[in-house]
Amino acid sequence: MTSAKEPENSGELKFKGLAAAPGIAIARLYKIAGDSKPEAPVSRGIAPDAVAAEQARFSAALDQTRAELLALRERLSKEINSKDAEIFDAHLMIVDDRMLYDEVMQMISGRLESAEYSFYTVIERYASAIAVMPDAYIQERAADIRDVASRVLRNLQRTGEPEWHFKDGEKYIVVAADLTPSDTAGLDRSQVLGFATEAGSKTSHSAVLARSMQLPALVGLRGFSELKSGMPAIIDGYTGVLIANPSQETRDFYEKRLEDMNRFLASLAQESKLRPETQDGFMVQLSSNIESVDDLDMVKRSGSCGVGLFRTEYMFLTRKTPPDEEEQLAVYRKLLEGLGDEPLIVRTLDIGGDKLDGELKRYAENNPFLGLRGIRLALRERREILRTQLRALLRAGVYGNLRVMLPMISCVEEIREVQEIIADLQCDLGREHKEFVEHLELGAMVETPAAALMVEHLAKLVDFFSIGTNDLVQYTMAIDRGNDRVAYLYQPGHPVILDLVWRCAQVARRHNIYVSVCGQAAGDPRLALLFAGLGVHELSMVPANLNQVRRVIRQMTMFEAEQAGQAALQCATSKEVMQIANDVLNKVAPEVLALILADDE
Amino acid sequence: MTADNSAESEVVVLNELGLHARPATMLAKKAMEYKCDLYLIKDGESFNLRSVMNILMMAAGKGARLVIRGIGDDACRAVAEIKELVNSKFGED
Repeated sequence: MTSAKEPENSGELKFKGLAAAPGIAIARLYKIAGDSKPEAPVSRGIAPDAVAAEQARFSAALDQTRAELLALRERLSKEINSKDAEIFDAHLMIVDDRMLYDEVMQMISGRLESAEYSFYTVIERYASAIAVMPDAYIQERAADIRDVASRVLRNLQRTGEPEWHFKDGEKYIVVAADLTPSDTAGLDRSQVLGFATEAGSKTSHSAVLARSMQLPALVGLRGFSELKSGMPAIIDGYTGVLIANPSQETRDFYEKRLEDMNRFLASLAQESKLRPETQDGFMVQLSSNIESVDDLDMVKRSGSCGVGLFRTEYMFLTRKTPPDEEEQLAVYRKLLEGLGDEPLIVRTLDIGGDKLDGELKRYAENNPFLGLRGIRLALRERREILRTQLRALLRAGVYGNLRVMLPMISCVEEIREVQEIIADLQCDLGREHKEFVEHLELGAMVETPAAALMVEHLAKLVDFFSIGTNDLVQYTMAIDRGNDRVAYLYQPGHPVILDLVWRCAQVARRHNIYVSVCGQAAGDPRLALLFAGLGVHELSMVPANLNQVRRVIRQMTMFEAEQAGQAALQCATSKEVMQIANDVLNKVAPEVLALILADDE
Repeated sequence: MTADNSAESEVVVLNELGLHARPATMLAKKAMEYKCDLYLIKDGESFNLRSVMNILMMAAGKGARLVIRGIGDDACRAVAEIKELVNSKFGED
């Protein structure tokens, strides 16, 4: 660590980004060079048994490039006239060029060259031939080819796991042009204290992951190019600021802030065993959102009542082939046994949108968030994966309190279809004399306006609702949550969102089924209290937020929360809603309010 | 290769800029619609019609005489339709 007086502390640099995950980290920067122009690869040869892997890497880089170009074209076609966006059609055709593909594949297998070198050699041959064409117009196309080439090369160089060269015992703040969810998940928590990326929005998957990993993070960082590895730095995940070469004064300020924060969080942590019961005796179930068996310890420590959302994607995304039935069964069983009687809610594979990766990335869509994702993809194109998962779940159910929920429901047929599959699988399992549950508790995720508006019908088919606020906000407000230009409209406290939650809770009460909120908003104490007041039974969040929400629940009355909830429904704007919530919070738990207001600065 | 599943036709590039990026893209896209192998032949040299880069490398300007050759089941239809596309000047004015 640096000593108290260091001359380099003179030139303090401050960079603004979006606060993606709360917390403060003080460490040296570790920069992953990202967006620079890739260098010409050199011939280094590969082993014969590496051919398949190199070819797969090449295919994956082409897929990723295609997806990027489609997204770029989509964005540009909105900003400029569509004729200009057509230039990307030419780029896309280069990516899809059959000859190019075949030649590169052949070079990898025939000459045992790396994907980078093979691709570079082949495309450079085309580009240089075209660059000397007599026609000036065609000459210029060489630039297009080289543009696409550098994109593909960049993706090729990134498709492998990033290589970390950490010094033993040193702590780092990672800065990168972008981190994929799997890069983020792969960060070594013993050495990485936080990260900042140039790309992304608050609700991008890496940001969600950072919150769940309790890793302070910034996204949408400006001035990325001025940052260098080795610079001492501070990231403030509350206000969204990165300070490089901090002055001693700044450093002291943040060190004190970090200490205060840790002390407050420690005092909250002491309450983790207390029941989340309001002053007037109502229980609000508090549970955790997790993505792997490794999170079990954190769930236990945070005094959570089971798991309200187990995202199974990571089980699939961090590897090349999907886990088979036995492997999944082992995971679910381990979780259920670890949780004892407490419930485990498993969400079936929710692939789509920004989570596509590796083997599962086969579907480039112009608008993936409105495309074949969640239950749609599972039912229509990846039915085998769904069947395997449901089989594993049916068998796992005998080991504990298991519930299963279906993502992206937008019509009743989807639920009926899953129920038919379940009945079918139960038949098979019975014939095979395997142990399984007769009644698998099944829930519908309410994360599309369609689902929220037809809860009455859904209620007749399922045992519970789980409101996924992240997607519900995205689809109701009609904003892409990866697009930071419309991030201001990402308002989970919008009256219309509360109205949908209220509908859901009323219908659930009438049908005597339970309703949970498992989006990010459930972990915001202000929204948590409104949701509880609107009749939500369970709030599921990243374990890191449980203690502050518990403190609020324990210090409020349900009566207050209900009144606040009803008043919020009458509001016209998010701002008015948040004001109501702030007022209640200020009364019942001002110390928690102070913590979030720092977050909102 | 038998004569009954191949087809050939001569065509002249009519549009002002020749087979630059957009027409090349349109041609390659069109060529993907057929099962048969498709080539453009210029001065005896043959270029794969499914490859934008191959088409660009032909450097076929206005007035260039080309032969479209298709080999495979739907060659006849493919050659006729591609000829039509070239003759339409790719929608350029």
